[in-house]
This record gives sequence, structure tokens and C-alpha cells, in this order.
Amino acid sequence: MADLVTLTIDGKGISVPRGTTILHAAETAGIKIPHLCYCPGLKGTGACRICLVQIEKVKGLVVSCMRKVAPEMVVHTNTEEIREARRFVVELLLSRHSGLCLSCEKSGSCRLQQYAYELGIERPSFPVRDPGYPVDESNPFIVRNYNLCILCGRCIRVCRTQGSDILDFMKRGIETRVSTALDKPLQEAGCDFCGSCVGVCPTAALMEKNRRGKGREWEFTPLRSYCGYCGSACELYYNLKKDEIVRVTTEAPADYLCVRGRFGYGYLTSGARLTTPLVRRDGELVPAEWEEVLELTARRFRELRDKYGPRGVGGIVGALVSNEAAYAFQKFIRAALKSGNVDSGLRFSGLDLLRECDGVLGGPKGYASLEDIAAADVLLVIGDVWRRVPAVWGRIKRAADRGAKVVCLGLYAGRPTRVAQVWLRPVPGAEHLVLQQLAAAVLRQVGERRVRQRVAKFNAFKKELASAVAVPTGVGAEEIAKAAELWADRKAKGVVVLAVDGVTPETGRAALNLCLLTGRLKNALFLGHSLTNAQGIWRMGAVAETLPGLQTGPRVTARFARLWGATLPDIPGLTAKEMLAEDSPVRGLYVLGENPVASFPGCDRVAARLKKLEFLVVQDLFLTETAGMADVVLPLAATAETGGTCINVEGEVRQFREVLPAKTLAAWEVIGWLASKVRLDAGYGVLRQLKSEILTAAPGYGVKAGGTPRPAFLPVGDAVPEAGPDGSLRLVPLAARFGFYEGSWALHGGIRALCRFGGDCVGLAPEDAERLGLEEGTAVAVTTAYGRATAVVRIDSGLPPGVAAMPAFAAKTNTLLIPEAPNKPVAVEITKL
Amino acid sequence: MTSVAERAQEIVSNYKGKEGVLIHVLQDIQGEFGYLPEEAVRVVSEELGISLAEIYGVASFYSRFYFVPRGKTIVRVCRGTACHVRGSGRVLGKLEEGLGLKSGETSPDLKFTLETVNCVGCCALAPVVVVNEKPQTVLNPDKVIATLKRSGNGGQD
Repeated sequence: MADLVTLTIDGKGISVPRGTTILHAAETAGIKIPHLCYCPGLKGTGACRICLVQIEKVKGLVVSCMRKVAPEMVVHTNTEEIREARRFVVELLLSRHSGLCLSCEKSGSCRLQQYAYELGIERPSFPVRDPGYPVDESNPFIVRNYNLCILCGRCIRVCRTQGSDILDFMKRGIETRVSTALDKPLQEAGCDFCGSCVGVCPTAALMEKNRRGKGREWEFTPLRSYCGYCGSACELYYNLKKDEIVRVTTEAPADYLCVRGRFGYGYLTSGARLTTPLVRRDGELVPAEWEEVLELTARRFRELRDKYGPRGVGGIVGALVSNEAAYAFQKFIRAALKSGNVDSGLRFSGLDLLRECDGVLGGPKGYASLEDIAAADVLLVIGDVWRRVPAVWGRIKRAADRGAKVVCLGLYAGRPTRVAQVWLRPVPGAEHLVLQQLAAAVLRQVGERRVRQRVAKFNAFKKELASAVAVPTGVGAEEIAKAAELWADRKAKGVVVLAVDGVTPETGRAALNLCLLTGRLKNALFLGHSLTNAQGIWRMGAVAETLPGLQTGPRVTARFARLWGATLPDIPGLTAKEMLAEDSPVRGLYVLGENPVASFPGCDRVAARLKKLEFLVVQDLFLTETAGMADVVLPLAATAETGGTCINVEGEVRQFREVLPAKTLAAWEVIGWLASKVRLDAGYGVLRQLKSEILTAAPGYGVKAGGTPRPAFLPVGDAVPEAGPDGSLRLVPLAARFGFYEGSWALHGGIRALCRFGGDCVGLAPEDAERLGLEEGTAVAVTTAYGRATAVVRIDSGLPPGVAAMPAFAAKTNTLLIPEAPNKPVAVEITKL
Repeated sequence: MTSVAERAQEIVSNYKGKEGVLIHVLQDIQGEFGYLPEEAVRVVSEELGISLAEIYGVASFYSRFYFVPRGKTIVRVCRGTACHVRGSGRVLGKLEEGLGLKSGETSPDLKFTLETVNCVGCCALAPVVVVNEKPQTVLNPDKVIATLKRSGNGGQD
């Protein structure tokens, strides 16, 4: 091959692609060249001078992490001259390294220590001068001891790559130090606490606070699993000592995890976890034996079903549980309780949109992955997706750094808008219209004829575009034209980055249409979701309309009836929305891993409806608001305890590993036990058995191998945002920062510290705050047509005037939103309390 | 928008779209305010698309960028070899006493900043004190102090 370069390293002949560095070339031959500042996954800087090598016929020593290979090069990596030079460098580093290896956390995994050992430095030749910097422990996650820092700059580069970009070298010469602007504490400097800097630090300068005193790395067992917080389900390694998680790491040091993945594991071992069943006696929830509560639960469900019929009972499952738990759950409701009323909270967070997009894209093979985002040439980033699926932002940043063009659509001035070429900032509720106007402009550029041939329902699409063109959206025609020019370039790899749970269905459909319009049918739409297993819950059949594997129809029902040895109810049964409606027939409800009282829109009405139930069972990790109302509370084991699988936003099936001893029974064990009491039937209490059944029922976990895309434009609808009087405000739910995440996991996960105002804040633009005479921290009443709540004002210059933002997912926000359309802005009034 | 941010915006707008202008922008800002107000630096960061950390990294590399307000009159006492031989230590002592400031400090009313410098390059004038960029030989520190105090705002009114 023409592109291979042959050279000799330490006497070995090696062929590597042109452009490879000597350091990498040596690696392929199994020759390890020591290095400190170079870090896989980050740009080299050639600063540390440890990786020096000798090239024959080249004067002096060269830096192997930067020098590229050349044909016929003869390289030596370990001569005495090289070792002497390296020794000198390490000795200079040691002269400013006042740490004591004997008691250092990093002992045994510190690179400086390792090289000092390898180079045989027994005592420092230079006097050691303690820099005397104060150790920064001001944040809950990372200890920064720059007395141990060797100025390799890895943390600075990783911070830049992951997109926070808050670190740099400050000052100069002997005073050089890594710091934030004006030495501000990390929180104030805008740190996200992704912890990547800790991951790449070669010494103990940056350390996880929680691992201190827990042992050295050789005592830890790293177990590979996946994060359970959001839809991307990032790969991670739980490092365990005995049965305790002491730190979380990644495959490669510079891989991204967000604060929840890296530091938020505390929920697994939190003392607040439920470990025994609770039953309500004399109005109080008190601990009870499994046998007793399951007996009671089975009896009550049987009674209610006999009294009210199968429609009188039902179940709702959350999108954070595993496929196996979801499968067992829907089977229990359908086959054991013989009720079709099984559904998921996903109903309120983008189920319909997910289904529509999946239909057009032909299944997960057609979705865009995180790597598609990183590899894109043009990105259309919609709304707060980068806060819902944090791994997205690093990918956007990498693409932008590579020269990709970024178009942002959304209200909030955040990181993506900073790297964007075009920022479309509409009035709240006009997002879909902006996309329609963009589509109209793109259509003018690409021409109608080919689009008409390629995509069905073109005429209806075109008609809708025509009606959207003149509607005022707050976005100027110039911006639209600029964005259209970028998106219309069909040769550029384009990806739309969307959170299906964070936009209105209209916006989601308009986004999909934009992909179809430019022939971007495959891997061009990223369907982000805040919840880990949104894809799996749906594919496992834990929604009212479909059986496992997204299957429907009488023949499928008959097949499942045979598989489960039961007569099955009518499908679809009631949806979660219908089950919780005022006049629903449901009298007994089983809620698994979901907290409707806080997380469903219109949750105050949900609470009122749950009060009218005759029997409520809630199974969860914590005593949530909903569990607090239950007649029976069952503890839930975490996926990190029981294993199981989920399907992430890219449509990948991910296998959770059992890393911790279970605090309680696995969900399917409980369900199996319960089923045997209801119907004297088993078959789902054992994970292996259950898995093979799932694979029969829904081959490939319902992730179809190669579905056929059915390109057809989706109707967007012509909803126009109502224009209020001047100075009126619109309430928008926004996942504007991690602190906005208010789920019980985050609450108990040790990352509470980032939630400055909990779920209690309402963000206002400085102009609006001033006009209303409100200051940071003022207590206010927030009133919409749907409810009233109290909140604390947070002045946020990232917001435009006319918008009041409240944290998505928070209970208070949910009481104020339109139950049927939780992502739709709603008129709001804010008054001082 | 505050006046600092507005002024910073004006300064940056002279350079927008050009490469390698950061130091010039910072110099102009310091020229305007006497130091680099955080608010102004934030504007620079936004407008030039350079992270705040990187800007401070660059600025803190140079000893002549300042991050806290400085006095209207800046008195630099040369402590180079020639000046030292001709008694600059005593000159500094007198000035510290007379202005009530230690070297490197700024008076709370922002009238004076007193600092030392290693050589200003006009050793023939030693001992040298530079008052607002104007070097002078100081034979009688008391007289200098009196002049400084009299002119109050550095001889500007």
C-alpha cells in the first residue's frame, strides 16, 4: 500500500500508515515509550520531553509523540543517552513535587512515580521545593492539589475537548499553574464536573474526593457496565473495593462521562434506598415480610379484577427499568391480571414522536449515533438536548472544532449557541414554524422535482410549508436563509440533534421532514432521550398499543397467548393518560419505577386521581412521592445489582453488569412471585429463562436488524403560538443545567450539591426580572391556567425576555404545564410573594 | 448593559474578524480602565470566541496586565543595580512612608499605586522614579511626595 511507511524502531522493522507518530508506531510493535503530556484521545503538545527518542542521522533527541514517521527512519527508544535525558526531566519535575508517595492515593498508578522507578532515580538530585499552593476542596467532587501537578496540560486539553474549556496555564515560568479564570472555584468557573480532568491526570493533582482513603488502584476491581442515568447509557467502569464503588472510570482516559455517570453513583448505596416491603397499617407505612405483602397484593388485585373486570386494574412502568423488568411487568399485567392496561410514563415524554420517527427511519439502524454527531459536517441542534443527553455536547464540540457548521434552534444561550454559525431563537412555541420556514428555504435551493420523487406525501408537506412561511416567529428571514444554505448542502453529512422528550411533537416531525427533504434518511436524526431505557420499554411492549417487539394484531395476540399460556385481554388497553383520567375505570394500580405524582404533567391532578384508587402498589428504589401514597411499597433492585439490559438512544442493546450485591429481590423475581400467587404460574422469576423468552417473543429485543425506511413527510400541523400582550411571559420547561434534574436518583446520588435551587426555581431574563421588580432569590408565585406553584427567582442572562423557564422533570413545573402537551409553552404570571 | 461592557464592546469591535488580536484588545482595555475589569474580559471572550480561561492564561503570562484597579498615579521605583548603588532602597522607604503604601499596593482612594521595577534603562539618571511613565531623578524623595500629594491626581488637575 502506498500509504504505509516502513521504518525501524529498536531493531524491529515496522510498517505503519503515513502520518503516524513515532510513539504510536512503537506501540504497534509493542514498544512502550514513556510519556506524560501525551494522552490518547487528546492532541499532543510535546511539552513534557519524556518521550524523547533518537533518530539516526537526526541531530539531538526528538519528541516521539509529535514527530511523524518517515520512510527508512531508524529509531532508538531506550539508549543510555535517552535515559539520561529522561532522567533529567523527571528530576526537574521532582524538584517541584513535594508529594509523599508513601501516603499518596495515586501510589502504584502514578506515572511520575513509575518513570522515576523505571529510570532508577533513587533520590532527587535537586532540592525539592514545595510550591505551597493551598489544596482546593471547595467543590463536592474533585480535590485539586497543584503541589503535585507536573504541568502536563492534559486536564486543560481534555477540558477543551469535552467542551467546558475553563482551564488554562496561568502565569509563567516557575509560577506557572493550571487554574480557572481569576482562580475562581470550579463551580463559579462554569465546571460541569464531568471529571474528565481527573481521568487523565497522571499524578494525584486531581483526585475524586470520594475515593480518598479508600485504597490504592491495585486494590480496586474495575467492572465494565453502563450508566443508568440518561438515554445514551455511556459505558463506564465501576471500580470496586470489596462491595463498595470507590470510583468510576472509562475505557480510555479521555472518554466522556457526565457528572451523573462519574460521580452520581451514590444513589446505589444510599441509605435512603428501600430494602424491605412496606405496608400501610392504620394510615402508616410499616415494614413487612415479602410473603405477607405479596399475598396481600395478589389478593387485592384478584378482588378488584373480579369486582370491576380486567379494566379495573392496570400498571404503569417507568423508563429507567431494564428490558427484563419491563417485559416481566407487561406480561404480568396482561397474562396474570388479564388486563390490557399497561403503559409507561414514556407516554408523556415523547412516545408518539419516537414511534413516528422510528417508522420513517426503519428502526435504530437508521438513527444517528453519537459518533455520527461527531463526524457531521453540518449539525442542526434543537433545544436543550445537550443537557438531557450530556454526551451530546462533547460530540458537537468536536465536530465544531473540526470545522463543522452548527445551526442551533432554541431559546437558551448555552454552549451550542456559542459554537453556532446560525442561532435561530424563536419566540417560545414557534420552533416548529421556524423549521418549516427553514424547510421552505431549503426546498427552494434543492428544487422540488427530486424531492417529490423520493419522498411520499410531498404535496401535503408543501402546502403546510406555504401556510407556515408568513407566520411571525421572532426569527428573521436572513437567519433562515443562512441556515438553509448550510443545510441544503447535500454533500455535507448533516445530523439533526433532537431530544424526543424535550420538544413538541410538531417540532420533532418538522425536524424529521428536514432530513427527508435533503435526502438525509440514514443516520441523520439523533433521537436523544433523558431516560435510559425509553427505547427498551417501548420495544418490550410496556405500552398500551403494542406487544413485545412492537407487534400488534390478532395473530400476534394469539401467538403471545400460546407463548404465555393465557388468554390475553384486548390490545390496546388504556394508556397511562387514560388510566389516570378522572373517569377511568382503574381501581387498582401497580406502578414500577415511576413517580407519576412528580414526573407526569398535571401531576397534582394525578395525585388526586391516585387517592381515589382502592389499591396502589409502588415498586421503586426510593420512597418517592407516589410511593408515599401507596398501600403497598415494594423495594426495587437497581440494574447495577441485578443486571439486565437496556436499549440506548442509538438503538444499541446494552448489558448492565451485576456489580453490587442486591439490596433486595430483582423486579422479575418479585413479579414472578406475585404472578404465582395471582395465577399459579411462573416462568419469569429467573433472569436466564426470562431472557430467552424475550428473545423468542421479541427477537433482538425488538431492535430490527435492517428495517426498510419509509420516507414520507410527516404532517407538522399549523399550531401558531398565541401572542400575549406586551410584557407577558411564557413558561417553558428547560433542562438548562444538570442541576435542573430532579429525579430521586440525582437527589440521593451525591450530586445534589449541583442543584442550587432544587426543582424550585424559575429562571427569568434580567430585563424581565427588573421590570417585575424581582431579584435573585425572591420568592414568587407562578400561576398558569393549569396550576399554581411557589418558586425562587433565578436571573439568567441566557434566557430571552418574555420567557420564564422552570426545570424540566420537576414536580412543580409539571403542575403548571398543559397535561396533554407538556413541552408547549404556556402563558404564566409571576407575582412576588 | 453597563458602561464598562459597552466600552469593551466598542474596543473589541475595532478588531473583530481579525486574527491574533487578543493582546491588542487587552492592551486597549487596560489603556481605558487602567486594568482588566472582569466584566470587560467577559465581553472580549464572548465577542472573540476565546474562552475566559485562555484569555486569563494569556494575560497572566505578562506582568504588565493587571486584574485589580490601579491608582491614577503610578509610581515605580527603580531597583536596578545603578539605582540601588545610588540609594534607591532609601527612596523606596521614604515613598512607602510618605504615601502610606507598601510596594505593590494601591491606595484605597485609587489615587496612587506604588511598585518597584528592575531597570527602566536610564541608569544615568539614577536613582530613578517613574511617575506615570515619566522617569525622573529623585534626589529628594520628600519633595517628590509633596509634589505628588499636591497634584493629587497625578498632576492632572
